[in-house]
Amino acid sequence: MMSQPTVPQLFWVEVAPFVVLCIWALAIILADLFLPAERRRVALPLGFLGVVLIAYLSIQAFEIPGNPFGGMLTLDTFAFFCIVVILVGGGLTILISPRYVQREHIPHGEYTALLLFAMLGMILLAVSNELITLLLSLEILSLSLYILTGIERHNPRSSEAALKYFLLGAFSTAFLIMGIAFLYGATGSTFLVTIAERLPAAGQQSALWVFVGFGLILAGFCFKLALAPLHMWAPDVYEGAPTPITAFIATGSKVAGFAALWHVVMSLADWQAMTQNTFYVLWIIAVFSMVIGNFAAIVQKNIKRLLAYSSIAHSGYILITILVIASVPAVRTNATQALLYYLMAYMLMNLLAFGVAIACGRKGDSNIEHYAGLARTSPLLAAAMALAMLSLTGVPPTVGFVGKFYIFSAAIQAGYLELAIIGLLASVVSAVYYLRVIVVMYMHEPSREAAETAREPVGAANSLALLVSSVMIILLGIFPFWFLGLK
Amino acid sequence: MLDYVWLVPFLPGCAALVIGLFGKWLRTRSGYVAIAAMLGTIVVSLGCFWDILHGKGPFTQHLFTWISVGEFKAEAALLVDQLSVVMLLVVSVVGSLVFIYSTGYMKGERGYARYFAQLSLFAFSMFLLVLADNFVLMFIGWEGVGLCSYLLIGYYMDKTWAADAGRKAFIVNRIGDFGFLLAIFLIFWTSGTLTFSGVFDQAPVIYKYGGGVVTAITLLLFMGAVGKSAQIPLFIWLPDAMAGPTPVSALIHAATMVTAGVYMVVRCNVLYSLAPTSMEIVAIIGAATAFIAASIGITQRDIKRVLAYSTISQLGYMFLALGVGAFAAGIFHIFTHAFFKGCLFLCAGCVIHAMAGDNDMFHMGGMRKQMKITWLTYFAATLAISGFPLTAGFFSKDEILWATFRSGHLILWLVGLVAAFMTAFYMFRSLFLTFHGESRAPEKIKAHIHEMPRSMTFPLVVLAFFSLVAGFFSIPKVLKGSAWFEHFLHPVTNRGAEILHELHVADPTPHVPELELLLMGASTLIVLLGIAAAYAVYIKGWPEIPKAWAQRFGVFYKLSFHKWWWDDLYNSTFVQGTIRLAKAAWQFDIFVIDGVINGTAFMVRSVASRLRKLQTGQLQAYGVGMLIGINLIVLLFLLTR
Amino acid sequence: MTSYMINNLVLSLAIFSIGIIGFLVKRNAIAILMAIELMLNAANLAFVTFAYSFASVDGTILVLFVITVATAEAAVGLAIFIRIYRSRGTIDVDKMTTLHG
Repeated sequence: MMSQPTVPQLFWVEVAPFVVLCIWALAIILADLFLPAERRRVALPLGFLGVVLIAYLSIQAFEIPGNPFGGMLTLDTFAFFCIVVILVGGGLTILISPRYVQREHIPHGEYTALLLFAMLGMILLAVSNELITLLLSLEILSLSLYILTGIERHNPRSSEAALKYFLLGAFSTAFLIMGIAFLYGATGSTFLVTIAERLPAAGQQSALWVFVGFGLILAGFCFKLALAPLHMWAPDVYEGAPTPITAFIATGSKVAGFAALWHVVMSLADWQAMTQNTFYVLWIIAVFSMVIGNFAAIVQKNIKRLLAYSSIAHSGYILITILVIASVPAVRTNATQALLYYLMAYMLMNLLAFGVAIACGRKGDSNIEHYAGLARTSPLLAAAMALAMLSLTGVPPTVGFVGKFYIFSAAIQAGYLELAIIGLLASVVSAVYYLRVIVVMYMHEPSREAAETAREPVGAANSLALLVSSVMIILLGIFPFWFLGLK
Repeated sequence: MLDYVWLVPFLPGCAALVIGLFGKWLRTRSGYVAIAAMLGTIVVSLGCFWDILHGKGPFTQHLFTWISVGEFKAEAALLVDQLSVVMLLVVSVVGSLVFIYSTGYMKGERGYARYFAQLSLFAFSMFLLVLADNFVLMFIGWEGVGLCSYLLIGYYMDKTWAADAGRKAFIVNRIGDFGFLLAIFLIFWTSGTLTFSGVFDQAPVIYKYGGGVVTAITLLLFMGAVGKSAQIPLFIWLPDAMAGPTPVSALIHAATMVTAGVYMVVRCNVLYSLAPTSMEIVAIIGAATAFIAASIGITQRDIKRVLAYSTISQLGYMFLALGVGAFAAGIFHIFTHAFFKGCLFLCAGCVIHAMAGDNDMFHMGGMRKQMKITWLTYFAATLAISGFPLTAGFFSKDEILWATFRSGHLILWLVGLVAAFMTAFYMFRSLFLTFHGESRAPEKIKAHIHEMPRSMTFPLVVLAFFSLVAGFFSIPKVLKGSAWFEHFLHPVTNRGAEILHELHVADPTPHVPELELLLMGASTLIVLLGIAAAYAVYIKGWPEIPKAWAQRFGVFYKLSFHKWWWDDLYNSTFVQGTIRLAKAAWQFDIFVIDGVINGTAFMVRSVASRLRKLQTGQLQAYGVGMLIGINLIVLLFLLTR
Repeated sequence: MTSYMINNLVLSLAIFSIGIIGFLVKRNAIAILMAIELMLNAANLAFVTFAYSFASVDGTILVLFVITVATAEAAVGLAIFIRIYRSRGTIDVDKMTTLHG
């Protein structure tokens, strides 16, 4: 009797979000081909519908924890939270896009489909439990974002940003792949679970491979997360990319990256060879990012560049939780909660800021001086921007404050008092540049040209996005357990 | 009534929301909405006070769990005890009066509704701060009041200096808040909880008397207090904060928010009692601030700046009281100070209104004729702040000085006494310059001077009344009084002393009634001397001295009208040294402290622009940066293995 | 670790380093892309070597995926280069410094 090869059983519910998202994106590209030019605008609403659908399917899929695709994906609570954050972020990004896409003559169909593909990459990255899957989802994500960065075809800055993002991104991916090769070479497996199982048996030489491999993988993630000293691409790309895409790069890819990094770190953290000292490198990266991000942001004149540096600093704050998770098992639950909460907070604050930037941006101009007197000309937009800035500074009762509080208290519980102090000092410095935006909006006279030319209307979708994120910034700041109590 | 305490923050919070959302439609009615909410808080506060008075001990109301991580929980819970109920009364009463006053003062201003929304939001945050049952919630209120204060300082947003002032306040306060937050983390780290009762009950067990941890915690907390309550070296923001509308200065920058630091230290009196070093520092900083700010007050021309420096100086007194362990005296001074300083600021508002926006006292004079009520109320409040016998300020200030003396801080007592002299002098100087003598205003404005409407004078009268009589709440035992106020606060403010007693470190100094009376006499004398000096220079000398000098030195006479007072002061019998000191202190403020802050800013900027130069935009330059980073990561991994 | 493995891994690392150097010194975007391809192929060589030593197919399959990734990257990259060439007439990366600071 020949034994039948066992086909891994596939539960449709478990894989539905990923499969449907892929099909949905392809369908949008196809539909775009057949629709007459004036009806192509329907792509963005369709995309939003897709996100809602995926959200529903994800809730179904995560009903029971499982490991579809032969254990390559893991549907755990952590991944669920990350997917919620990514979907909220993706939905808001689609909502803030229409005006911009219209104004800059970006093809709707490609734009939406690529956005959905990038989201597919992100949610796969958040659930991947195996290095090949991780690499592939990272590539789906990155390739979509490279194209999206350069999608403003007539804008040379957009193309330049795409070129830099692409070349540096591919460069870092090469290191990541090399790292995976070493980890595979040391343990003979690409499954994170198996790697964790085999590590204790690893000999002296294998251990060396593991360290080098993990170092290279970490470097690859540092690039994706714009952590210093691998952050240098971020300001240029953020400035050159179309603003909604900047928002998406700044939020979605960071959430997904941190989710994947969490999975990798968790598989290695319990190996005895990894002492607390081993993760000292994370300490250094976090401090570098907080310091460089916050200091360099002070002299920026362009709002997108300013937010780029601020996002570097925020990555530094978030990395503190990874450090705690990796090195102090006792505080792991708290730090994980802090991580999840801060990812949500960070996403909301940034999308609000970028949403306002889109709503009051004009062609190719995102200078901060451009916001002078915004409080006079459009008080609601100014209030939203001020809220975003205050939340980024960490003023209660916004999400920014609660998030920082979670992170720093986790750090202190784990015994990293000095990190908390450096973080707090860094956020004092950050008050300087966040506040400047508020000062410019509220206390400077609007330029004559700005006062005379009527601003184009914000648009219903964008208004909705701004409203939703503002309300959530305050509500989740006052009732943080609403988010953490989701599951 | 205690069960309804949630209404206290809720009402102004709702008012802020309603005005914020429907301000355009409500317009001038928004003032009434805000006032109604504040009057509601008075009723609830009085009810709570009544219950507490009748022994319904500390009461905690849980609203909901705010943050919960592992074993750590931050509840949104309100705590009503003797201390918080006193603060509730102060904030709600003074707040309501300022709200009423504002309807007159802000009439016709642009953004009337916005003003009331922000003011209500301030009241909400202040109540939250006062009622908080744990450090985190307190910090929320703490930041909230700060935020509203910056918003209101920058109210006249078309003026750059107002914007700069708001920004300065924000950044200086961030420095203080940094300390506060760090202290919160330290407390959590060492005690595992953040509720007041939890921390204070454990404190004697987990913190060693005079130990490093508790000293660090208290000093960091004090750093927060120094920022918020404008003490040395972070006091520079308060005079600039006068750029905001005057009622805001009265409520936020005199009566309530700036006293939050004092309140916080009193709240933590258990911790402070365990840290004698911190207490000593608090006392010294308090005394130094009281002295330096008073000496600066002497030479100011702007009436609001005089009041600002006097606020700083009075806050210094409060910290002096706390530093020597007289926590109840500190709160009592908050209580009386809220009334007389609120009154003074509101009077100043009337005066400035009458002068069509001119703050310079040397353009005023003789205004008592046209503005009887304002003059009388200003007079009453000036008596109180100077510590004239039997007014509110007399009792509260004297209690502080007596406590300082009794605890053996003779030098600090002397400093406080001199500051009291200067206080009397500069306050009466401002009274005389503004309301007495001949008017120095330009004709056009002179004709315009008139008494203010009822909505503005009514709060003045109420506050002036309290400035005169509020002291009778706590007549010291030596004057056959009952020291009721101190007695009332005893359960809260004496906890630190009780703990020390259990630890056998406190040395209760014997009470000598005769000595207390003697000191009281001395400070009364000092105050009268100050008043007399001001009278001699500004009333007696006003027409004659300058004229006499003018005959002798024609040069001085030719000096511009705005300048001669300075020479007059210099050459009169007034102690020259004080003037020099005042100038030096003023210079110190401008050059050293501003210099330090600007210097730091400059350093930060130069680092930043250097970082910026690294970012050349050249692709491979970034590649090299990345390669260095990757090597660093891998190498570090291998090295720390 | 057998000698053939060491030889292969040394070769792989050498190719990887050549790729890094190429990335850093070349100014033509296409040459830079080729350098990146070199680095990816060095990783492939390492994968195959390890897979052979474990006698498992995992590593070989990984190589297929990496090749796919490299192809996709090349496609996207070339599209971007063409776009840049159309607008600026050059793909010299030294000329791409509009975004900086």
